Amino acid sequence: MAASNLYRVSGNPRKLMVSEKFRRQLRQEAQTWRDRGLIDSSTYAQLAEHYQFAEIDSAARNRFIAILMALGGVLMGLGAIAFATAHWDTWPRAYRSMILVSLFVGVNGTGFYLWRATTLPKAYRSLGQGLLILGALILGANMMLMSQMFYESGKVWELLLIWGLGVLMMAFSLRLKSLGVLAILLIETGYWLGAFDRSSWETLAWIQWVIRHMSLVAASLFIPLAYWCRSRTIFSLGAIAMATSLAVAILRWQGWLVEVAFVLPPALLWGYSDGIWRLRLPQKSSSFSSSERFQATSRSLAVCFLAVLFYSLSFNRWNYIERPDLSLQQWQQNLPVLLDVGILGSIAILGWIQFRFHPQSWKSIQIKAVNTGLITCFLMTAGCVTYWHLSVDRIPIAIAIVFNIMLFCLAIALIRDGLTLGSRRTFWGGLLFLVLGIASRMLEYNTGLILKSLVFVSCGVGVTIAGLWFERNEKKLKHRSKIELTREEAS
Amino acid sequence: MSNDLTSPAADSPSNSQPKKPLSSWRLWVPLLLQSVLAVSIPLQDAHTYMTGKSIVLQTSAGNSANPMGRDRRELNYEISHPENLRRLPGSKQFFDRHWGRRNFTFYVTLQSPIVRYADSPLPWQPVRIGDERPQHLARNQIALKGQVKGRRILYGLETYYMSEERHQQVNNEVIRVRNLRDRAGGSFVVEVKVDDRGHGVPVSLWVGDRHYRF
Repeated sequence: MAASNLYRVSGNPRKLMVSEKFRRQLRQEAQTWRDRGLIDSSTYAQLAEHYQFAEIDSAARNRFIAILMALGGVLMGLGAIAFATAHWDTWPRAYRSMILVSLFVGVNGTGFYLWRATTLPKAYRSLGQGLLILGALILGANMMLMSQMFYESGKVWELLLIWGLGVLMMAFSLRLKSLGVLAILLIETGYWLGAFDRSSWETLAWIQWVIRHMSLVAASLFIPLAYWCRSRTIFSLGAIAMATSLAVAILRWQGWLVEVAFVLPPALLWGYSDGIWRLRLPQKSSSFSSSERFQATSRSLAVCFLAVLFYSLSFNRWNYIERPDLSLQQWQQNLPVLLDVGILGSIAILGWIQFRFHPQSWKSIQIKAVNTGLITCFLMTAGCVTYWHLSVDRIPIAIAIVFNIMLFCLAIALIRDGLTLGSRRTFWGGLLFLVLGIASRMLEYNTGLILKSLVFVSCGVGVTIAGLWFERNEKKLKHRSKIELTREEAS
Repeated sequence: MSNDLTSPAADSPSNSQPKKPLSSWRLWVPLLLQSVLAVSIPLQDAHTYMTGKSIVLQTSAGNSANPMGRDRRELNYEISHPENLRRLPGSKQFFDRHWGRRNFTFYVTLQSPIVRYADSPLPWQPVRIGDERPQHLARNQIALKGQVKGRRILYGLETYYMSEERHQQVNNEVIRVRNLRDRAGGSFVVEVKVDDRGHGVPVSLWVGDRHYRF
């Protein structure tokens, strides 16, 4: 029968996408249908073969055994740890080192060989990956215990940094997303703890260099890792690390190029595209999304950065911010940061040059409110106004007003984009910053309580109404915007 | 059509099965590099321990009930107190120029006592203080690097590791000896190894005539 051909299986029958509950129900129902004569027994046999009715019970039993084994393993591990902790100090140092090293090598080796074996079922491969992650954690424990055994009185953040670098090497070699994320989180934690630690006199010179030039380290290590593992998570984390450490480096160790700290990171993120690394004119066919894997992520991060920047600069604290007067010696000390600024600045410029290939980005009326033109206006205004305030003439009130206006413009543009495209994240992001802006202004200035309560209540009502309206019409908006966007792309 | 029922292709190669297994060196090379990194952390201290010269420093714990530090395992030395350093040659410049203004590093030159041992080794005394590492040191002198952080003076010798019961034991011993001799100050000394760059590592401590290694 033609209908029975539809159920013929090709490929590995193990890889069923349907849930086990469905298979169980299907088996039950199929038996009912067969008994009632709705389907004949050959169809039932084909269904049974395709959905593997016979394996349902054994699969459940295997799963139960696996859980028992895992539980047993965890308990044994805890027992071993307790035993080791109790007797740690009594064992000679060589013995302790040997235990640590063999544990480290054993876990990593087992995890690797399990993970890469293609003949074993998926459960073993996941176990292997889990063991590799455990091995990365054991690396950290090893580092800490080894340094404790040998009198090292270093700081926690140095340890985190070195640990993260070790895990990063393994992530590069094995191309594992999970290890990559772990490595970046460790390195970033170490960075943030260490960047503000002013008593860093005993740290090794190369660690100090890494902390100062973290933005270059992030750009040269994390972004290629994102491409290598093809992971958007790693790209987001790496881009955030790069942007924030650039801003911190300029503000903390340079102290003079404040405008650059505000303008360069979002410009770099907005202008980023894969086309930077291609030196000639891109083909027309590849000018849009097919090869731009990370551009959307990069642009959203740029918008986030701008929103947070405008929000934090919209407070009326500009009176207390001034550019420090640097002596010649301090200038010489602060030169290394210019290396970061130079390299990342040229990448940003390369990125923005790519816009000459997309002249439609500069049209005055566009679908998206948050577009290149708007971002350019924001960046130039922020840069000029900050420069004016710090170098030419102090205008603390005007600059706060300017940043507030930009914050509200950005929020409204995001809301409009969210409505146009039916994109939930954009809409709620814009709404969040709008409400944050209004609430902060209310709390910051001494207005009467009645006015405050009025504003808060109306904000709450507005948010609720907007949210409900948006959710109801989301699908309609999405569909309409897709048509408009494809029409724009074709023209 | 039947592709719908197979598992979806993974969007990243780390989740899908590779066509042929990865070669082993992709595990062992990073493992080796990680071990090298792990070993490099205590390397400086190990080097100091092996090649450094052994000196003895007097601690000052006051009358506290926990002279060995309670939770934070901190040791305070006599040369950590600014008053003890004021009488030294070179201290005027030290205090006038930098003190209280910013954090800076300095070198204190210590000289060995004439009589080296009583029932426990006698501490070395500071003789000079300066910004730079002293070029000429006599045979019985050594330069120790210190840092001023705010109003505290640190030598990197303040923390140590000892097991809980040992810590308690030493603590009791210190209090016992202090009561015995009726001395107001702390009464134990720490043996430190210092290398030629001024970096120090605490090695052991002496309470009365008892010797405890870290």
